[in-house]
Amino acid sequence: MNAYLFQHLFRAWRRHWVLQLASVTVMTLVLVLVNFLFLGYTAFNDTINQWGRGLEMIVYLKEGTTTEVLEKFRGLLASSGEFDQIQFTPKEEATKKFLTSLGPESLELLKDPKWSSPIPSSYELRLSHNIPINARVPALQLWSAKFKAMEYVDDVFYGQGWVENFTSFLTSARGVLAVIWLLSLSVGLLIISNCIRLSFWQRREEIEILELVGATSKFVRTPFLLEGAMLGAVSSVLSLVMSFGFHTLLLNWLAKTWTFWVALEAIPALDGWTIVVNLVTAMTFGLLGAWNCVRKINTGWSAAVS
Amino acid sequence: MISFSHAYKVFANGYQGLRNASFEIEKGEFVFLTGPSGAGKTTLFRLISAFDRPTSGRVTVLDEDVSALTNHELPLFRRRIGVIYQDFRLLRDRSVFDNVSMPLIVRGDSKTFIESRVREVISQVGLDGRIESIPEELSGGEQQRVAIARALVHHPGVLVADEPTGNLDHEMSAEIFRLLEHVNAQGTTVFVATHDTELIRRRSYRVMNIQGGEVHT
Repeated sequence: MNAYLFQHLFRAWRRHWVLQLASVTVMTLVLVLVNFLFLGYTAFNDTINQWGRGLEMIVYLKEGTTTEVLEKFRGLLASSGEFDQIQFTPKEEATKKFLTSLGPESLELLKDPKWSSPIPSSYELRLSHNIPINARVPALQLWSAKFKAMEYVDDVFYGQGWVENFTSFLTSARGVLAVIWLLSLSVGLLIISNCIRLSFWQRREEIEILELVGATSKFVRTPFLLEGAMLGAVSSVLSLVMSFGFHTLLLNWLAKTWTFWVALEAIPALDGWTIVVNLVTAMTFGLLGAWNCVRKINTGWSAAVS
Repeated sequence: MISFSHAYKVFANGYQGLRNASFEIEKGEFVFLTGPSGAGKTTLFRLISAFDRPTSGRVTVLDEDVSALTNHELPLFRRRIGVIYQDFRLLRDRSVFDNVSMPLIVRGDSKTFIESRVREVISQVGLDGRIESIPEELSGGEQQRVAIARALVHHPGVLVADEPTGNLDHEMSAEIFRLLEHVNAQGTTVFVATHDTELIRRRSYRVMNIQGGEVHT
């Protein structure tokens, strides 16, 4: 069976090389498109997250928070290991900073015994650089929720509006990408299915002869399924090579022309997982395309309709 | 061995390919089927080789009810019969060896067994020197001998041949018939459709006739 399978593949390429080449080309282009959509999404995601690196979180404390509580709070933050910067700003210092920012004459207010500062003590926090880019926004949201549940915390600020808009945009982008990804692969499925169908019909006589000598449906179908999987695998490998090529060209071009604006390290290449997913998906779709064709055609009675 | 009982075959367009066919062929018999073109010979042979099912009635071959065969049983049944066609039905891009070995490959036999058995049968049909040739390099008679070798390689219980000499000259036809007689002498039931009356007359085998889908035994 193994020798027969490889002979089948070899013959399929030799006999229908134009058809096979056309299928591989279209499927490769579809996969290159999918790869670039994915890369674009990843690059965008990473760029936004890079900007998000500078995000600070300010935890405003309630009036009358004791030194003991403050120390306990600092201890909690330090022991978590998730913060690079833990800076306490007492109420007086914060007020002074605020008034200075309004103008030197505003500092006169400090001398007025009737005036009471509305600005609370606070902690300014910056997440550890060890936290991966894609985990930074969820970490901020998680810590914010934790702090808000503490009785001595008045409010937490970390640019919620910006983060929420960004998260919702990413969710939508992910959805759109998934739809495009599915549509593109469905096109690939259709292409491979039609290629196998044509190959199947061109080899109809051979299939009839195989049935005549007692070949099972599995025996007849397996080579075509393997052909579909191979078409998917070859397309995937070509698409990966092309994607890496385009990626390098793009980086070179950007380095020459847009270097002042684009952070080149934020434009990633396909990683190991993406390569594996690309290969497995393309082979699976090749297999499904072939199965979609052979399951309808070969039932053991092909010759009965000729 | 082969039994038809009130078998009918009606095609989708209403044409009756076979009408109330009832006959029996015993194990080891050599039987001729004659009749003009379009009389129903091929229909009858397609029912025997399970390439079609009767519309009604019963067709039994090697103790198997053909109409009751499931898709799973079908290939196993076909491995027990040998079929020869007028147009040889050979794989044009494969060698004589590859064509003849096909029934053994689909059965999953070992490479060593296939090698020895195929060479044995090819020698039996007198094609030793042409084992690596592809069909288009062979004469019509040689191609039919390849088809016979393929039909015999797996030791079938029944050999059905639909006009095996239809494309051959008289001398070549006589040679093919001698080969079929030799197969029959080894115990295989042989059922041959032909309209070569000259060849039939020279032999004393049972002859069945088919006219307009009706079989006369």
